[in-house]
Amino acid sequence: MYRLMDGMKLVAAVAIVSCGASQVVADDFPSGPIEVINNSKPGGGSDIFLRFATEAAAEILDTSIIHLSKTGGVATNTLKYVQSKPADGHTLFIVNAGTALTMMSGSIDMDQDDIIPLVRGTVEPEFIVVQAGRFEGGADFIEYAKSNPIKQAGTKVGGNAHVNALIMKNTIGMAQQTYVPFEKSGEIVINVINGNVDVALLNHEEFASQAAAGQVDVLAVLLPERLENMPEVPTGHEIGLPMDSPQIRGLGVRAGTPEEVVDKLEAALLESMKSDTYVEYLKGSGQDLTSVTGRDAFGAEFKTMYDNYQSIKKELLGG
Amino acid sequence: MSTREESLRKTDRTLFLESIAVMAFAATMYGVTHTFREVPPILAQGIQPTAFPRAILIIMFLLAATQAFQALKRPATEASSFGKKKPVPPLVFLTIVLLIAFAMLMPIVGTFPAMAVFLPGLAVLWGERRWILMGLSFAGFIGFAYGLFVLIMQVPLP
Amino acid sequence: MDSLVLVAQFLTDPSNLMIIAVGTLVGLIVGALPGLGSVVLIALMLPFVVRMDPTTGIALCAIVYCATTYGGSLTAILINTPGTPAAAMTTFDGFPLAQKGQAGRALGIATFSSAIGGILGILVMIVATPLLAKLAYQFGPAEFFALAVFGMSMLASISGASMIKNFIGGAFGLLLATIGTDLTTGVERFTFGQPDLYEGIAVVQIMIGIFAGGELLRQATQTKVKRELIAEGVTRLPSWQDFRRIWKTVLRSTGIGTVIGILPAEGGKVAAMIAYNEEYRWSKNKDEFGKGAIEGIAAPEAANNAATGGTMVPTLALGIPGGGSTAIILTAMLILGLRPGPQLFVEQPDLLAGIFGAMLGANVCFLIYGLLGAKLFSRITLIPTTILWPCVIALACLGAYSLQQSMFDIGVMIFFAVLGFFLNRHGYAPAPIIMGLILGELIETSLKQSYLIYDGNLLAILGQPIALAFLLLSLLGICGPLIAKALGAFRDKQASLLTGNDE
Repeated sequence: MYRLMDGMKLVAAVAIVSCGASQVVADDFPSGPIEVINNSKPGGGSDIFLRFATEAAAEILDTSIIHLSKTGGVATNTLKYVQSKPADGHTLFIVNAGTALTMMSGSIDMDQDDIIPLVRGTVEPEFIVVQAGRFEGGADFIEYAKSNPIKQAGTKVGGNAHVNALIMKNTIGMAQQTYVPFEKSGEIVINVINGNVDVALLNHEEFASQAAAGQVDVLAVLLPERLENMPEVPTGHEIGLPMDSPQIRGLGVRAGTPEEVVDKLEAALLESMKSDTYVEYLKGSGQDLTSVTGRDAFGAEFKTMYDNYQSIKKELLGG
Repeated sequence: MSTREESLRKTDRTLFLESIAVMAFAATMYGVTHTFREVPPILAQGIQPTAFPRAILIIMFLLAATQAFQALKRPATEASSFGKKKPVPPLVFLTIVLLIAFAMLMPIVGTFPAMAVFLPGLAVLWGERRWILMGLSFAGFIGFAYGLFVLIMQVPLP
Repeated sequence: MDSLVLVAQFLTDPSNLMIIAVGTLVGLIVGALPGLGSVVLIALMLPFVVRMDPTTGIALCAIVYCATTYGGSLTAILINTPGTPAAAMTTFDGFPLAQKGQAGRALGIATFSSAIGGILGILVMIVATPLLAKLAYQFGPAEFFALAVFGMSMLASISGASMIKNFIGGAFGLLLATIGTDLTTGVERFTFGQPDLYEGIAVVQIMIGIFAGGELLRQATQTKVKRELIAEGVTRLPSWQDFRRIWKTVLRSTGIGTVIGILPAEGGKVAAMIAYNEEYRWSKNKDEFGKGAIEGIAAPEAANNAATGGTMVPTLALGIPGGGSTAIILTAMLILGLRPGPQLFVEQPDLLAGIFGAMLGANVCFLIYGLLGAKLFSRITLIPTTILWPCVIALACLGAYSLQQSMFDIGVMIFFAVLGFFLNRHGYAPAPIIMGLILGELIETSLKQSYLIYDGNLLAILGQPIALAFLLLSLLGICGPLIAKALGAFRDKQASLLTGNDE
């Protein structure tokens, strides 16, 4: 009894001290430049997102923002780097499907409780893209895929695109799917055009110029409803592929970051994303400010994504 | 004549030993590939991450073996173009030591103090004795480096 | 046509003209300094370039690349020491002519031939690059694999101690490229538990180490060498008679230089050598060669400057470096997030116009500098090595560190300086290692992709016409020198004169 009391006093004392300390931390925050870590190469879609999303935040927080890219093993190197940094809010990183997948793959000793997803920035729809004139339409493609081997192009093996390809395979009931990984979306489009691969799931900006030039056909958009600005493109549900796979991107910090710092960062990032430049950026891919959500909504969404991926974990990892 | 032949034989032996060293390196690295993590088939997509390095190492080994074979077979006249080499002067090793010392000193005493020691150190090692010239040029260079890295690029140097 | 407008726009911007003027000046001085050339300079510049705006950064690399190539000829003529390896052939006739008291004439011929060769080479580049890039739409993994193999096969013919050694060096480079986390599987390879190696070995630090550091140690073996300005002279424009004597030579050598430059892995050094040999072969007054024949100056200078434009073609169009310097420029582009290929022409017309404009500007600019102040620049070569090299290596250390603020990178730099020096002594030149390092990832990924696309049957690559053509060319590239050697046509003598870094 005596000991327990002592212990509780100690806990209380620590709590008071750490609370006081974190208040100081929050006032002092940021005490230096903030690093933003991307898990794919500079110049790609994620890099552009991060730069637009944090552009105004530097001014709001009165600090400089350094963009770094730690590629390799989907998000493995990014998370390893984050792990090596103190949980003080000076290291932000991209949170996307790759983050959840990497945690699941066991290549890093982290799970969803080790990070705090702060804000969501984009919900970009994906499209089914094939060589121009190759198929009559979405239904024709699905019929073909049920009885013929399909070569599907995408980015990193074990990444978001690969997982979506697997979900697509299972939803359609494809006879056989070979996943061919490329480093950049530009190469994927070229290989769809020259017929080396049959199909790819891409964001609009990744194939827009080739679609305009008539080099590729768009079979469907993987969303519950048709897009307002592209009403002619049917949804996956309409052509017999009931799956939704918008590409979600956001920012996060390490768990254990003082609560006040987390609040300050969340507020700053949300404000940064309300800027005109960010809204313009969202418009570019047919989105609006509904793509931007704060910590609570994004955290819940990340948890759902994390849990959903458990279902294909076995297939992906063969375990 | 006999000394010339001897020196040629020596060149060939160097080439032979060199090839053996490359072969040993390739074999050792091949051994290291066995420590790579195995990945499930769907991630490996039919090609394990060991396949490519192993292929290169095998090629490297075969090239070195060919070279070793050539070294044994080469007629004396053909080796002449390679000539005999002067031994590496001790100055090279001293330069390397100084370079390593500079890199180790940087985080301890700071970049610019370390440079202030290293630059004249290397110059003196190389036989420079014009103190005023050295003082002026190195002071100028350190100022230039400070301006470039600290003021313009804002690199946090140790 | 749009691209020409963009080039004109680039060249009318005063700040760009400033960059050209300063970049050319720096390139000229560095090119004139023996041991320092475009490869070392661009490697040292990388840490700065990757922080610049992409167009300015890459344009600056291109400017100094042009200027160093010309700068090397000044020292070749005036102090009988090639400032860059590409200028080695220029000493054969340039220095004898200077000794005869006609240094001004020699400098004039060199300046004039360099500028004409350089500008024509760039014009070819402006036309050929987009054409080649359009072809890239037909380039899938099989074609890229074959092209990269073709690039590696060219290691057979670049100068060096032996073909096998070049290939062993190339294989070593390929192996270095596999260090780090495998992109497709996330498996760590050859990291030996070092977290600093997870992302792969730092290419830039290796380049700085192997080129700048290796050269420092090579200089340490010859600190006793004294350099003297043996001849002096003010550059004079070639006389009408001289001009009539060399214009055919200049055009012929420009053609040779451009074609050699476009071939992967072959740079200005080989171009100059072949152009000189061809000029000698077809010349009516062979006995004048080696004693100050002006054709002997015009040929290598037109060729090595034309090769500069040539080497940029495959680099920009396909991402296959045309030589040592362009390998570093390619690395800078990739770090800046630019991927060479057809998309680059659609997405970044400004960047390409900037590169073209900058190179054209640099050639005009060095023509002016060369005519005005060749004498002044050649005096700079008399900076004592005991002062110059400590500064160069300190700059290399700071540059290596500044990229990622990591002491580990300085370690990598020094390690490769030492390794590069000893490998070079044993005939393993740095250029093949760098080629392997640059092409390694492309070869591995394109091979994997081909394996998947052709259902595990890699022989199907041979069924692709473009790929087959490149693979046959590779075979020719490897066997060609062997056949030539067997026929006794390969000139050992001249090959052995060219040591040091390629280009």
